[in-house]
Amino acid sequence: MSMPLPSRHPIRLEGEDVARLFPFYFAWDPSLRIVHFGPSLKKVCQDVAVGAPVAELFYRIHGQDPFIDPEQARFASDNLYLFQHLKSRVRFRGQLVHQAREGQVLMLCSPWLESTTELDQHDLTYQDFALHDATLDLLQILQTQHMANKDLLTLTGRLKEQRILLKAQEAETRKLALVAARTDNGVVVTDAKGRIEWINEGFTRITGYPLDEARGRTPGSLLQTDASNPSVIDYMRKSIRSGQAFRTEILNKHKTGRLYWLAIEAQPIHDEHGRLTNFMAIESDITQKKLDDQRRNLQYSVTRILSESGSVREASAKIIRSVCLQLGWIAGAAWAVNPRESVLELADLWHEPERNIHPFEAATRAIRFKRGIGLPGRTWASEKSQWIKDVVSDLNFPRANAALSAGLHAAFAFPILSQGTVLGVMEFFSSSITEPDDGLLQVMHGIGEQIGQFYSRKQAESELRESEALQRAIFASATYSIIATDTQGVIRVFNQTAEKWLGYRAEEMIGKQTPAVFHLKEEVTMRAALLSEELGRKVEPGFDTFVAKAALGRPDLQEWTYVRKDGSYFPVQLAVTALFYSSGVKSGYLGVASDITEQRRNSALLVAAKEEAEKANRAKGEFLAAKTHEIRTPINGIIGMSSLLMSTQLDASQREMTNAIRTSGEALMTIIDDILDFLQNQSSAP
Amino acid sequence: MYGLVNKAVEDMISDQFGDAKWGAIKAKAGVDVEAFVSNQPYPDEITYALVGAATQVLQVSQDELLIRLGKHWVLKTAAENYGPMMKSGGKNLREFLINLPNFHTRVAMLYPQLKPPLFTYSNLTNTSLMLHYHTHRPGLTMFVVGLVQGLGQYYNTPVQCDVADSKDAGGNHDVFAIRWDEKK
Repeated sequence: MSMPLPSRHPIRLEGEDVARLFPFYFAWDPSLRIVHFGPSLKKVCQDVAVGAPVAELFYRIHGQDPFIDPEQARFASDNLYLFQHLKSRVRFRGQLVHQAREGQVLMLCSPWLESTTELDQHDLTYQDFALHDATLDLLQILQTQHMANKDLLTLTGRLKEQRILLKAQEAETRKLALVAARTDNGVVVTDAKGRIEWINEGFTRITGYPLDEARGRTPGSLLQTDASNPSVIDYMRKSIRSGQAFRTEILNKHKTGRLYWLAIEAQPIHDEHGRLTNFMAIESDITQKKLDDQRRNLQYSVTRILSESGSVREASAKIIRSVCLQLGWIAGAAWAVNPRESVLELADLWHEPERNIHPFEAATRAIRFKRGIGLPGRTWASEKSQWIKDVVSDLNFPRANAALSAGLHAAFAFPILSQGTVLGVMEFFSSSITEPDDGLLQVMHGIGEQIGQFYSRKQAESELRESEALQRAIFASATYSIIATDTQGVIRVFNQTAEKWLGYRAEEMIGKQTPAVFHLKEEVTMRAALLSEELGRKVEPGFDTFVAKAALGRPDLQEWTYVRKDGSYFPVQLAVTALFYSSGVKSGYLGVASDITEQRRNSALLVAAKEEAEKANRAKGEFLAAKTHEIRTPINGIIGMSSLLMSTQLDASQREMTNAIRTSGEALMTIIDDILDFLQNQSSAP
Repeated sequence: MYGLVNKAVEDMISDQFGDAKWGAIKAKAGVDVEAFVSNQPYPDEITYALVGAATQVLQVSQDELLIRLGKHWVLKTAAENYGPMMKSGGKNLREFLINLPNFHTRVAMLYPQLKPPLFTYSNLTNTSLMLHYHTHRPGLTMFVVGLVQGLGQYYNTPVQCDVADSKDAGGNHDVFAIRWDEKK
């Protein structure tokens, strides 16, 4: 069924209908003047009026000869017309309808608007448009599109911002990745269960494992050893299981078997939904730090032991134990030099109680070392610390077989040195073969010197104690009064004899009195006067009098009278000396006095005895001289008579006997003369 | 729902509570749309998730949030973007409410995929009417209350909007008893 064409069924529209359906229409007549127009047109084109020349109101955009008379308009009804209102600049879009009968041309149109804001400009509302006119709805669609464009611009802007941010983050990430890859620290990324996904070069450097060997394994299974602390391992496992960050230190094993200390700081990584996806750990090799710590601790503990120990013996036993425990070594021994026999003898031995090193202990106890022999002997001879990687295969280690039986391998020793002399040696043994550790040896050498100093100090202390004891004994037992003062005369020392002689107790004198308290004032005054004369300066009667000479460095030995606490007195001979500090500064004076009461009494007796003896002697001489004189007379008779007898006739025998009488007489006379001469000499002697 | 709605939610929260809160709400709702495009349809779930998260983050009741949204919708979203349409809706609140069906016909032309609600009225007097709200979307009763309050402000007319019946209370649809001052 075909639709009938409207042209065959003419539709007549009343003017009102045209105005309702096309509220912006306008019509002109053959004179090209407006004949009527739609109600909404006036809102936009306020100058429109019936009779106004259409060409003065509008002009046609595009095309010629716009305002045609109705006759021509018949042929132009197929064209799209766009007029612009000259005054408001609003364009109208529509088409021409030629009404021959009415002799007019109708422009059926609507304003051509580009945005809803134009509606506001011309105060147009929906009511100004025909309901069938889609202009406003299309405008609204346009508006919606504008909004969408704005939204898209916003979106683009935000995406751009994000892209910039992302680029910055990427750059940051690249930098971080570079840092992670190149850092000296080991960086390891695991999955949530702790299996390695990525490691950096640092990790490989520390552990010895490249990524392809490490991937898929847990760091623990790769690196931990029997020596790793089980409680640390447990702590790490628990942390990973509960997705917690952790930080710890653990002893691990390098791919080559070398042990090293690792510090680990692990962080869980969560995705945007908070799910644990990975762990990231930064690891650093702290072996050196651990060694340094260990050495520092060693030094510290040795220092502490030395400060707390009363004797070298006690200290060395504690040091051996402490070093073994801190280094994890099995045994240690201390050897002392026996200077008489020039050998090293065992002083102490300690070993880990759980380890049976009996064969080695027995061998050690049974041996003494000469210089250069065995580890202790070598250390003694060289005066330097020594390290043996494995004593079992060392050629200068007499206890090698015993060490093998006891499972001992590495060893080191250091000398105990005091002022360049080796006093002893300490040696230590490990259960594993270990390369020399120069740093440790250096530390141990220092410890050896420390022990040596300790030994010297103890020796000096002991000597000092002895000397003090001796001094005390001398002070106590001396039969002299020993009194020392400071430079001002205040008594500092007052020995037992002084106490006994003077009747004062030391505690009432020391720090409280000067020697003036037990001297005679008159005597001091008199002595001061004499000294003033002798020294050519005024000597004050007082302490100055006692020390005036000693202060000048001269010997001062004088007799004084000491006054006892009870007022009685006695004579003394007092020697005063100045005392000096080691710096040379005078510290005081020392007075040593002996009681000369007895001496004085004895010398008086001696003089009397001497006089008596001399008197007796003189009497004896006089008697002897008299008697000798008296003897000379008969002897002269004997000699004279015998000489006369010799001149007579005598037989040989008689002559011989007479001669003997005369000779004996002469000899006797010689003796008598000698006695007389002696007596003569003695009596003329002074 | 069209992006325009989600955008309105974003604008209202950013304006009244700050951008940081909006960011937190989006994160909580698990919505990672960077910017909503007005004329693009989005799943309703996004809008509901945003509103749900907003009540938690902002510590406000859902009713209060929906009322704020309704007012914002009229006074900002519609007024700024559809000014002429709003103006054409009527010279005063009463006319606007009566013209609501026409209004939604026009809105439907703009948003072809929109399933617009149907508004009818009854019991019309000079100062009151009963507004009937038919929609397939649950839970937006208080949004309509906010819309009416917003319209009252738009027309500078004191208005009272009470829920007379609702689907939540077992009714066939939501019914609002609306009264306003006669002066306008």
